[in-house]
Amino acid sequence: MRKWFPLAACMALLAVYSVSAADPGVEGKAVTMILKNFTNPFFITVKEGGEAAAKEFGIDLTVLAPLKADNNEEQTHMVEQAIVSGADLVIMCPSDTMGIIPAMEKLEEAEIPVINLNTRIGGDRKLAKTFVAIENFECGYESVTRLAKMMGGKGDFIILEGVSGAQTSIDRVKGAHAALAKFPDIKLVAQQPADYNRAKAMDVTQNLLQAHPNVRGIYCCNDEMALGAVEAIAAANKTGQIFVGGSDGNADALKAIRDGKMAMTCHTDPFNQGYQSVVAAAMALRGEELPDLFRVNIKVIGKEDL
Amino acid sequence: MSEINPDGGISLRFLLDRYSRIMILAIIVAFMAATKPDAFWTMNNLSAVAFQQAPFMILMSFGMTLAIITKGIDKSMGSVLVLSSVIGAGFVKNGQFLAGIGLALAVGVACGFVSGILITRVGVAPFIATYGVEWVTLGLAFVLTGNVYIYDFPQEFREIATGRIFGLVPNLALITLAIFLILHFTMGKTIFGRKVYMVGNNFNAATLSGVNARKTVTMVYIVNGLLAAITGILYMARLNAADPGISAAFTLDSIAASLIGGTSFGGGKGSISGTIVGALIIVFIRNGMNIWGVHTTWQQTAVGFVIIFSIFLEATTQKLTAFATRRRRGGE
Repeated sequence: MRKWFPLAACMALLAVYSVSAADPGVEGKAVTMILKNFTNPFFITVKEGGEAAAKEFGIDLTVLAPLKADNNEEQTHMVEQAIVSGADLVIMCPSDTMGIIPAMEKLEEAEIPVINLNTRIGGDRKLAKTFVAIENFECGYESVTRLAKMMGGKGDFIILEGVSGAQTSIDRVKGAHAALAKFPDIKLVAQQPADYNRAKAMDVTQNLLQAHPNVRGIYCCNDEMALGAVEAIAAANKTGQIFVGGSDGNADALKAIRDGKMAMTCHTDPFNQGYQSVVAAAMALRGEELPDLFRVNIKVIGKEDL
Repeated sequence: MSEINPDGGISLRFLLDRYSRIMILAIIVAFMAATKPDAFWTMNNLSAVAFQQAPFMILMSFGMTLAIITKGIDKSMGSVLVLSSVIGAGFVKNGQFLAGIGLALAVGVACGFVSGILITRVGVAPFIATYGVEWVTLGLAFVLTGNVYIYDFPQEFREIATGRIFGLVPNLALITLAIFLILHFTMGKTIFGRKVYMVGNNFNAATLSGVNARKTVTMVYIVNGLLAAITGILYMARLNAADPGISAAFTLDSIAASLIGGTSFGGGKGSISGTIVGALIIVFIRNGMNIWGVHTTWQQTAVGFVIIFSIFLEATTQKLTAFATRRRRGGE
C-alpha cells in the first residue's frame, strides 16, 4: 500500500494538470532550470522531460548546467544570471546542498520563486516552494533487497558511493544498509566513494576485488559507476559471477542488463523528474498552494523486466 | 641519463635526485607487501596496477613532463584526450578502426599545434594558452557528442588495451614501453632532446645560440597532443566508453606525477624515467589505500603529501649541492 499511494497521488495530480494545461497565466513565462551537469545521461533526460512539459504549458524554459560538472561556483553564477535576465521562476537541482544557499537567498530577495529538483537544498529555512524528487532511501533499499535475493542471501558485498557528501548518495547508502540488515549472511566488506564516475569506479572496483576476491554483489549509487564496475569485473574474468546493481536506468545500463553484465538498476525516472518539476513550476506561477514533496516513483529493473 | 650534472662526477645531489623517488616507491610497495600480503603482493594485483591502471597516467605524464621541462605546462591534455577520443569513437563503433584512430591522432596533433603556436608565436603564457585550449576542446567534445556517451565498442578494438601478445605480455604494457624507449632516447641522445632542456633552462640564451626555440616548444606541444590522443584511444578501449567526464582528473594526475618524478617547474630539469616512478607512486598509493579500505577521499591528501615531500626533497638537494660546491671551492 505504501508503494502505491504516491503513484495514485501523482496520477490524480497529473489528471488535474492536464485539464488546466496551457492556460494564459503560465504561457510565455520565463523559467530557468539549473542542473548539475550535462555529462551524465541522467540529467540529459531530466532536461528532455522538462522541455516536454514546458512545451505543453507554453513555458519559455532555459536549461543550464555547469561546464565543469557539479561545480557550485558556476551554478551560483547561473542563478545570478537568471535574476538579471528577469526569470519568473527558477528550478534548482543543486550540486552542493549547502553551497547553493547564498544563491537561493538572492532569489528570495528578488522574490523569484524556486522549485527544488532531485537534490534537496540544505539549511533550516524553506527556500523552495516544493521539492520534486524520488525517495533515494527507498531506491537504495529496494535495489539492495533485489540484489541480495539474487545473491541467494549470502556472500561478500561492496557499496560504491557517489561524490562524498552528496545527499542522493548518502540517502541511497542508508537505504542499502537498511536492506542489508535483513540479510545476516551478506557481509559488507568495503564501501568506497567513486564520485558517480565510470572511470573512477573501474579503478576502485579493480583494487577492491584484489582485497576481496570472494565478492558476490556490488551496489553502485548510479549507473555510471555500475558500468565502470562491470568493466573491472570483465578485466578480472569474473563476468557473470558478481551481481552489479546501479541506479538511474540510463540506456547504457539497460543494454548492460540485457547483455547479462549488470544485474539490475533502479529506474529513477529522470524524464518524469524533469517533467514534474515544470508542472510544479506552472502551479507555482499560477499562485497555487504546493505540497512539500512532489514524489516521483522508482522502479527496480532486472533482466526479466526488460 | 639526461641530467645536466654541473659537477661532472657523481654528487650527492645526483644520487638523491636519481634514487629518492625510487626509495619512496619501494617503501610504499614494501609496506603494502608486508601488511597486506594476500591482497597486495600477488601477481594478479601487481600486474593489474602496473599494466592496466598505470599506463594511462604514465603516458599522459610523459607529455606533461616535456611541457614542464620547457618551463611550460599543458593544462589541455585531459580535454584533448576527451575530444580526440569522442571524435574517433563514432568510427570505431562502426568498425572503421583505422579511420577512427587516425582521426583521433590528427585531432591530438592539431590541438597541440594550436597550443604551440599560441605560446610561441602569439606569446601567450603556456598556462593561459593551454587553459584556453582546454575549454574549447572540452566544449567541442560536449557539443559533438550531444551529451550522449558512446558506449560498447567491438571486441577487436578493445583488444588494443585488454589483449596480450602471445597471451602473455599485455598490449598496454608493450605500447607504454615502446613510447617510453622512444622518448627516453629522444630526450637523452638526440639534438632535439638537448634543445628541449636548453630552451627550458633559458629560452633567450637558447635562441641566441642558434636553437630554433619556438619550433622546439611547438614540437613539444604537438607531441603532447599526440600522447593525449594515444591515451584517449587506449582508455576508450579499456573503459569501453568515450567519457567526457574524465578530463580534469587526468590533467591533475599527470602534473602530480611529473612533480613527484622530480621535474622542476623552474624548467630545464626532469626526466621521463623519473615520471614513470612518479606515476607508479600515485597509482600504488591509490591501490594500497583501496585495499586497506581507506576512504578514497584520503587518497587525494596522501598524494598531496607526497608532492610536498618531493618538492621539499628538491629544495634540500639544491641546498646540499650549493653547500658542497662552496666547500669544494673553499678548499681549492
